[in-house]
Amino acid sequence: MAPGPGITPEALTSEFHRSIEQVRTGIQQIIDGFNNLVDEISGKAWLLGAGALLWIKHKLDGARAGLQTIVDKAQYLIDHSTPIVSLILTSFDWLSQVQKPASAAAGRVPVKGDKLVYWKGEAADAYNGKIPFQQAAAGDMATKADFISTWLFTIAKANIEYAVKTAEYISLIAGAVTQAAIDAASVFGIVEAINAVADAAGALVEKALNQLFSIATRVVDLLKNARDASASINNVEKLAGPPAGTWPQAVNVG
Amino acid sequence: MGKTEVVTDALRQEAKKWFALSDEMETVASSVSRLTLDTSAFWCGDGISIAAGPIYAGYQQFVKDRCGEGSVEFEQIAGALNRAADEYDGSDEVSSATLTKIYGNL
Repeated sequence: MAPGPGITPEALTSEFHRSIEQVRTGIQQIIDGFNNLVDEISGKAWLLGAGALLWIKHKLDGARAGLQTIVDKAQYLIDHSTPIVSLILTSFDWLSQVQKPASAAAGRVPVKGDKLVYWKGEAADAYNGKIPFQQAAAGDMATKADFISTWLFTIAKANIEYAVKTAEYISLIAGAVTQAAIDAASVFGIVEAINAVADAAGALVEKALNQLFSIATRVVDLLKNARDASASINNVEKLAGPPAGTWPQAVNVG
Repeated sequence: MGKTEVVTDALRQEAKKWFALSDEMETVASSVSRLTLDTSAFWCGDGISIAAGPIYAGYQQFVKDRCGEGSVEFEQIAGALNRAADEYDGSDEVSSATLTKIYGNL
Protein backbone atom coordinates (compact mmCIF):
# COMPACT_ATOMS: atom_id res chain seq x y z
CA MET A 1 0.00 0.00 0.00
CA ALA A 2 1.31 3.42 -0.94
CA PRO A 3 1.30 6.10 1.77
CA GLY A 4 -2.34 6.94 2.48
CA PRO A 5 -3.71 10.49 2.56
CA GLY A 6 -3.84 10.57 6.37
CA ILE A 7 -0.16 9.69 6.74
CA THR A 8 2.48 12.40 6.50
CA PRO A 9 6.22 11.97 6.04
CA GLU A 10 6.71 14.28 9.04
CA ALA A 11 4.66 12.01 11.31
CA LEU A 12 6.61 8.93 10.26
CA THR A 13 10.05 10.50 10.47
CA SER A 14 9.29 11.94 13.89
CA GLU A 15 8.00 8.56 15.10
CA PHE A 16 11.26 7.05 13.84
CA HIS A 17 13.42 9.76 15.44
CA ARG A 18 11.54 9.39 18.72
CA SER A 19 12.24 5.67 18.80
CA ILE A 20 15.91 6.17 18.01
CA GLU A 21 16.23 8.72 20.86
CA GLN A 22 14.46 6.29 23.18
CA VAL A 23 16.93 3.57 22.20
CA ARG A 24 19.86 5.93 22.79
CA THR A 25 18.59 6.88 26.25
CA GLY A 26 17.79 3.26 27.09
CA ILE A 27 21.25 2.02 26.19
CA GLN A 28 22.81 4.60 28.52
CA GLN A 29 20.40 3.61 31.31
CA ILE A 30 21.28 -0.06 30.90
CA ILE A 31 25.01 0.67 31.08
CA ASP A 32 24.66 3.06 34.04
CA GLY A 33 22.24 0.75 35.83
CA PHE A 34 24.49 -2.27 35.44
CA ASN A 35 27.57 -0.33 36.62
CA ASN A 36 25.64 0.99 39.62
CA LEU A 37 24.53 -2.53 40.46
CA VAL A 38 28.10 -3.81 40.34
CA ASP A 39 29.25 -0.85 42.50
CA GLU A 40 26.56 -1.50 45.09
CA ILE A 41 27.52 -5.15 45.33
CA SER A 42 31.25 -4.43 45.43
CA GLY A 43 30.65 -2.05 48.33
CA LYS A 44 29.03 -4.86 50.27
CA ALA A 45 31.39 -7.64 49.27
CA TRP A 46 32.84 -7.79 52.77
CA LEU A 47 29.35 -8.66 54.08
CA LEU A 48 28.93 -11.56 51.71
CA GLY A 49 30.54 -14.96 52.00
CA ALA A 50 32.88 -16.41 49.38
CA GLY A 51 30.20 -18.80 48.12
CA ALA A 52 27.68 -15.98 47.70
CA LEU A 53 30.24 -13.86 45.88
CA LEU A 54 31.02 -16.68 43.50
CA TRP A 55 27.30 -17.13 42.74
CA ILE A 56 26.95 -13.37 42.23
CA LYS A 57 29.92 -13.21 39.89
CA HIS A 58 28.59 -16.09 37.84
CA LYS A 59 25.14 -14.47 37.55
CA LEU A 60 26.53 -11.04 36.70
CA ASP A 61 28.84 -12.41 34.00
CA GLY A 62 25.88 -14.10 32.34
CA ALA A 63 23.76 -10.97 32.67
CA ARG A 64 26.48 -8.78 31.22
CA ALA A 65 26.79 -11.04 28.16
CA GLY A 66 23.02 -11.03 27.59
CA LEU A 67 22.74 -7.27 27.96
CA GLN A 68 25.72 -6.77 25.66
CA THR A 69 23.92 -8.66 22.87
CA ILE A 70 20.89 -6.39 22.87
CA VAL A 71 22.93 -3.24 23.45
CA ASP A 72 25.11 -4.07 20.43
CA LYS A 73 22.02 -4.64 18.30
CA ALA A 74 20.49 -1.38 19.48
CA GLN A 75 23.72 0.53 18.90
CA TYR A 76 23.88 -0.85 15.36
CA LEU A 77 20.37 0.47 14.79
CA ILE A 78 21.36 3.95 16.01
CA ASP A 79 24.46 3.98 13.81
CA HIS A 80 22.45 2.99 10.73
CA SER A 81 19.31 5.02 11.35
CA THR A 82 20.01 8.22 9.41
CA PRO A 83 19.54 6.88 5.84
CA ILE A 84 16.13 5.44 6.75
CA VAL A 85 14.78 8.98 6.89
CA SER A 86 15.52 9.38 3.18
CA LEU A 87 13.80 6.03 2.52
CA ILE A 88 10.66 7.35 4.24
CA LEU A 89 10.76 10.69 2.42
CA THR A 90 11.51 9.11 -0.96
CA SER A 91 8.49 6.79 -0.71
CA PHE A 92 6.33 9.93 -0.42
CA ASP A 93 8.25 11.86 -3.09
CA TRP A 94 7.46 9.23 -5.73
CA LEU A 95 3.79 10.03 -5.20
CA SER A 96 3.98 13.83 -5.02
CA GLN A 97 6.76 14.43 -7.56
CA VAL A 98 6.15 11.64 -10.06
CA GLN A 99 2.84 9.82 -9.72
CA LYS A 100 0.66 12.92 -9.37
CA PRO A 101 2.23 15.06 -12.14
CA ALA A 102 2.51 12.11 -14.56
CA SER A 103 -1.11 11.21 -13.91
CA ALA A 104 -2.13 14.86 -14.35
CA ALA A 105 -0.18 15.05 -17.63
CA ALA A 106 -1.86 11.85 -18.85
CA GLY A 107 -5.24 13.37 -18.02
CA ARG A 108 -4.41 16.50 -19.99
CA VAL A 109 -3.12 14.84 -23.15
CA PRO A 110 -5.25 16.74 -25.67
CA VAL A 111 -8.40 15.18 -26.96
CA LYS A 112 -9.81 16.56 -30.16
CA GLY A 113 -10.92 20.06 -29.16
CA ASP A 114 -13.79 22.19 -30.46
CA LYS A 115 -11.74 23.85 -33.13
CA LEU A 116 -9.79 20.79 -34.11
CA VAL A 117 -12.97 19.00 -35.24
CA TYR A 118 -12.59 20.91 -38.52
CA TRP A 119 -9.28 19.21 -39.04
CA LYS A 120 -10.04 16.25 -41.27
CA GLY A 121 -8.22 13.89 -43.55
CA GLU A 122 -5.33 11.49 -43.22
CA ALA A 123 -3.15 13.77 -41.10
CA ALA A 124 -5.97 14.30 -38.61
CA ASP A 125 -6.70 10.57 -38.51
CA ALA A 126 -3.04 9.74 -37.98
CA TYR A 127 -2.81 12.27 -35.17
CA ASN A 128 -5.98 11.10 -33.47
CA GLY A 129 -4.89 7.49 -33.78
CA LYS A 130 -1.66 8.16 -31.93
CA ILE A 131 -2.94 10.19 -29.00
CA PRO A 132 -4.24 7.25 -26.92
CA PHE A 133 -0.78 5.64 -26.93
CA GLN A 134 0.78 8.83 -25.61
CA GLN A 135 -1.84 9.06 -22.92
CA ALA A 136 -1.34 5.40 -21.98
CA ALA A 137 2.44 5.83 -21.75
CA ALA A 138 2.12 8.86 -19.44
CA GLY A 139 -0.43 6.92 -17.38
CA ASP A 140 2.01 4.02 -17.20
CA MET A 141 4.62 6.33 -15.64
CA ALA A 142 2.09 7.16 -12.91
CA THR A 143 1.40 3.45 -12.39
CA LYS A 144 5.10 2.63 -12.12
CA ALA A 145 5.67 5.53 -9.71
CA ASP A 146 2.83 4.26 -7.54
CA PHE A 147 4.32 0.77 -7.58
CA ILE A 148 7.79 1.84 -6.45
CA SER A 149 6.32 4.18 -3.83
CA THR A 150 4.36 1.29 -2.36
CA TRP A 151 7.42 -0.96 -2.32
CA LEU A 152 9.58 1.65 -0.59
CA PHE A 153 6.82 2.56 1.85
CA THR A 154 6.35 -1.07 2.92
CA ILE A 155 10.09 -1.40 3.58
CA ALA A 156 10.12 1.98 5.39
CA LYS A 157 7.28 0.84 7.65
CA ALA A 158 9.14 -2.35 8.56
CA ASN A 159 12.21 -0.27 9.47
CA ILE A 160 10.09 2.00 11.66
CA GLU A 161 8.50 -1.01 13.32
CA TYR A 162 11.97 -2.41 13.98
CA ALA A 163 13.03 0.85 15.67
CA VAL A 164 9.81 1.08 17.69
CA LYS A 165 10.14 -2.54 18.92
CA THR A 166 13.81 -2.07 19.76
CA ALA A 167 12.92 1.06 21.74
CA GLU A 168 10.16 -0.79 23.63
CA TYR A 169 12.40 -3.64 24.68
CA ILE A 170 15.42 -1.47 25.45
CA SER A 171 13.21 0.66 27.72
CA LEU A 172 11.80 -2.41 29.49
CA ILE A 173 15.28 -3.84 30.04
CA ALA A 174 16.64 -0.46 31.15
CA GLY A 175 13.81 -0.18 33.67
CA ALA A 176 14.59 -3.60 35.11
CA VAL A 177 18.33 -2.94 35.38
CA THR A 178 17.82 0.51 36.94
CA GLN A 179 15.40 -0.91 39.50
CA ALA A 180 17.82 -3.73 40.35
CA ALA A 181 20.59 -1.22 41.07
CA ILE A 182 18.23 0.60 43.46
CA ASP A 183 17.17 -2.64 45.16
CA ALA A 184 20.79 -3.70 45.59
CA ALA A 185 21.39 -0.64 47.80
CA SER A 186 19.95 -2.73 50.62
CA VAL A 187 21.90 -5.84 51.51
CA PHE A 188 18.61 -7.73 51.76
CA GLY A 189 17.74 -6.78 48.20
CA ILE A 190 20.90 -8.09 46.58
CA VAL A 191 19.72 -11.60 45.71
CA GLU A 192 16.43 -10.33 44.33
CA ALA A 193 18.23 -7.60 42.35
CA ILE A 194 20.62 -10.08 40.79
CA ASN A 195 17.85 -12.46 39.86
CA ALA A 196 15.91 -9.57 38.30
CA VAL A 197 18.88 -8.51 36.17
CA ALA A 198 19.54 -12.11 35.15
CA ASP A 199 15.90 -12.41 34.06
CA ALA A 200 16.02 -9.16 32.10
CA ALA A 201 19.27 -10.18 30.44
CA GLY A 202 17.98 -13.69 29.82
CA ALA A 203 14.29 -14.14 29.05
CA LEU A 204 13.54 -10.51 28.16
CA VAL A 205 16.55 -10.16 25.86
CA GLU A 206 15.67 -13.44 24.18
CA LYS A 207 12.10 -12.30 23.60
CA ALA A 208 13.41 -9.01 22.15
CA LEU A 209 15.84 -10.81 19.86
CA ASN A 210 13.11 -13.15 18.61
CA GLN A 211 10.74 -10.31 17.81
CA LEU A 212 13.42 -8.26 16.09
CA PHE A 213 14.51 -11.30 14.14
CA SER A 214 10.98 -11.85 12.88
CA ILE A 215 10.78 -8.25 11.62
CA ALA A 216 14.17 -8.69 9.93
CA THR A 217 12.95 -11.90 8.28
CA ARG A 218 9.92 -10.05 6.97
CA VAL A 219 12.19 -7.39 5.48
CA VAL A 220 14.25 -10.06 3.78
CA ASP A 221 11.05 -11.37 2.18
CA LEU A 222 10.08 -7.85 1.12
CA LEU A 223 13.44 -7.35 -0.46
CA LYS A 224 13.25 -10.67 -2.21
CA ASN A 225 10.05 -9.27 -3.69
CA ALA A 226 12.33 -6.78 -5.39
CA ARG A 227 11.82 -9.22 -8.25
CA ASP A 228 8.36 -7.66 -8.49
CA ALA A 229 10.06 -4.35 -9.15
CA SER A 230 11.92 -5.90 -12.06
CA ALA A 231 8.65 -7.40 -13.28
CA SER A 232 7.07 -3.95 -13.16
CA ILE A 233 9.84 -2.53 -15.33
CA ASN A 234 9.56 -5.45 -17.71
CA ASN A 235 5.88 -4.76 -18.20
CA VAL A 236 6.30 -2.52 -21.22
CA GLU A 237 2.93 -3.11 -22.86
CA LYS A 238 2.33 0.67 -22.87
CA LEU A 239 5.87 1.46 -23.99
CA ALA A 240 5.91 0.16 -27.52
CA GLY A 241 8.74 2.36 -28.80
CA PRO A 242 10.29 1.45 -31.16
CA PRO A 243 12.42 -0.01 -29.76
CA ALA A 244 10.06 -1.94 -27.48
CA GLY A 245 10.35 -0.82 -23.89
CA THR A 246 10.74 2.83 -24.78
CA TRP A 247 8.26 5.64 -25.18
CA PRO A 248 5.80 5.13 -28.08
CA GLN A 249 6.90 7.08 -31.14
CA ALA A 250 4.20 9.16 -32.80
CA VAL A 251 6.06 11.25 -35.32
CA ASN A 252 9.01 11.03 -37.63
CA VAL A 253 11.68 13.51 -36.87
CA GLY A 254 13.40 15.39 -39.67
CA MET B 1 -11.76 33.64 -40.89
CA GLY B 2 -11.89 30.78 -43.41
CA LYS B 3 -12.02 27.13 -42.56
CA THR B 4 -8.33 26.63 -43.28
CA GLU B 5 -7.39 29.47 -40.94
CA VAL B 6 -9.57 27.97 -38.22
CA VAL B 7 -7.79 24.64 -38.62
CA THR B 8 -4.37 26.28 -38.73
CA ASP B 9 -5.11 28.26 -35.59
CA ALA B 10 -6.46 25.17 -33.84
CA LEU B 11 -3.36 23.15 -34.76
CA ARG B 12 -1.09 25.82 -33.32
CA GLN B 13 -3.17 25.94 -30.13
CA GLU B 14 -2.93 22.18 -29.92
CA ALA B 15 0.85 22.36 -30.37
CA LYS B 16 1.09 24.73 -27.38
CA LYS B 17 -0.60 22.15 -25.15
CA TRP B 18 1.97 19.54 -26.20
CA PHE B 19 4.86 21.92 -25.56
CA ALA B 20 3.48 22.49 -22.05
CA LEU B 21 3.11 18.74 -21.49
CA SER B 22 6.66 18.24 -22.73
CA ASP B 23 7.90 20.68 -20.06
CA GLU B 24 5.92 18.83 -17.41
CA MET B 25 7.38 15.46 -18.34
CA GLU B 26 10.85 16.99 -18.31
CA THR B 27 10.20 18.23 -14.78
CA VAL B 28 9.02 14.76 -13.77
CA ALA B 29 12.17 13.19 -15.28
CA SER B 30 14.45 15.52 -13.36
CA SER B 31 12.49 14.90 -10.15
CA VAL B 32 13.01 11.16 -10.63
CA SER B 33 16.75 11.66 -11.07
CA ARG B 34 16.87 13.28 -7.62
CA LEU B 35 15.13 10.34 -5.89
CA THR B 36 18.38 8.45 -5.37
CA LEU B 37 18.75 6.09 -2.40
CA ASP B 38 21.96 4.65 -0.98
CA THR B 39 22.18 0.90 -0.43
CA SER B 40 22.27 1.69 3.30
CA ALA B 41 18.82 3.30 3.12
CA PHE B 42 16.88 0.06 2.98
CA TRP B 43 17.55 -1.56 6.35
CA CYS B 44 18.74 -0.26 9.69
CA GLY B 45 19.10 -3.57 11.49
CA ASP B 46 22.05 -5.93 11.67
CA GLY B 47 22.37 -9.51 10.55
CA ILE B 48 20.93 -9.39 7.07
CA SER B 49 22.47 -8.05 3.94
CA ILE B 50 20.42 -6.50 1.26
CA ALA B 51 20.77 -6.09 -2.49
CA ALA B 52 17.86 -3.71 -2.94
CA GLY B 53 20.02 -0.71 -3.84
CA PRO B 54 20.91 -1.74 -7.41
CA ILE B 55 17.36 -2.91 -8.15
CA TYR B 56 15.99 0.42 -7.00
CA ALA B 57 18.61 2.34 -8.97
CA GLY B 58 17.65 0.38 -12.10
CA TYR B 59 13.99 1.18 -11.59
CA GLN B 60 14.71 4.84 -11.01
CA GLN B 61 16.84 5.02 -14.16
CA PHE B 62 14.13 3.29 -16.20
CA VAL B 63 11.38 5.70 -15.15
CA LYS B 64 13.67 8.70 -15.59
CA ASP B 65 14.66 7.62 -19.11
CA ARG B 66 11.06 6.92 -20.19
CA CYS B 67 9.82 10.27 -18.82
CA GLY B 68 12.67 11.99 -20.66
CA GLU B 69 11.65 10.22 -23.88
CA GLY B 70 8.04 11.24 -23.25
CA SER B 71 9.12 14.86 -22.96
CA VAL B 72 11.00 14.65 -26.27
CA GLU B 73 8.08 12.89 -27.97
CA PHE B 74 5.58 15.50 -26.79
CA GLU B 75 7.82 18.22 -28.11
CA GLN B 76 8.06 16.44 -31.47
CA ILE B 77 4.28 16.07 -31.66
CA ALA B 78 3.99 19.80 -31.04
CA GLY B 79 6.53 20.41 -33.79
CA ALA B 80 4.62 18.13 -36.17
CA LEU B 81 1.36 19.98 -35.49
CA ASN B 82 3.07 23.28 -36.22
CA ARG B 83 4.47 21.87 -39.43
CA ALA B 84 1.04 20.61 -40.45
CA ALA B 85 -0.29 24.11 -39.74
CA ASP B 86 2.43 25.60 -41.95
CA GLU B 87 1.46 23.22 -44.74
CA TYR B 88 -2.21 24.18 -44.44
CA ASP B 89 -1.25 27.83 -44.69
CA GLY B 90 0.05 27.07 -48.16
CA SER B 91 -2.83 24.94 -49.41
CA ASP B 92 -6.06 23.29 -48.33
CA GLU B 93 -4.59 19.81 -48.43
CA VAL B 94 -1.55 18.34 -46.79
CA SER B 95 0.26 16.31 -49.43
CA SER B 96 0.80 12.61 -48.78
CA ALA B 97 4.55 13.18 -49.05
CA THR B 98 4.37 15.62 -46.14
CA LEU B 99 2.17 13.23 -44.20
CA THR B 100 4.68 10.46 -44.58
CA LYS B 101 7.37 12.83 -43.45
CA ILE B 102 5.45 13.75 -40.32
CA TYR B 103 3.83 10.52 -39.27
CA GLY B 104 5.85 7.82 -40.93
CA ASN B 105 4.34 5.24 -43.25
CA LEU B 106 0.64 5.07 -42.49
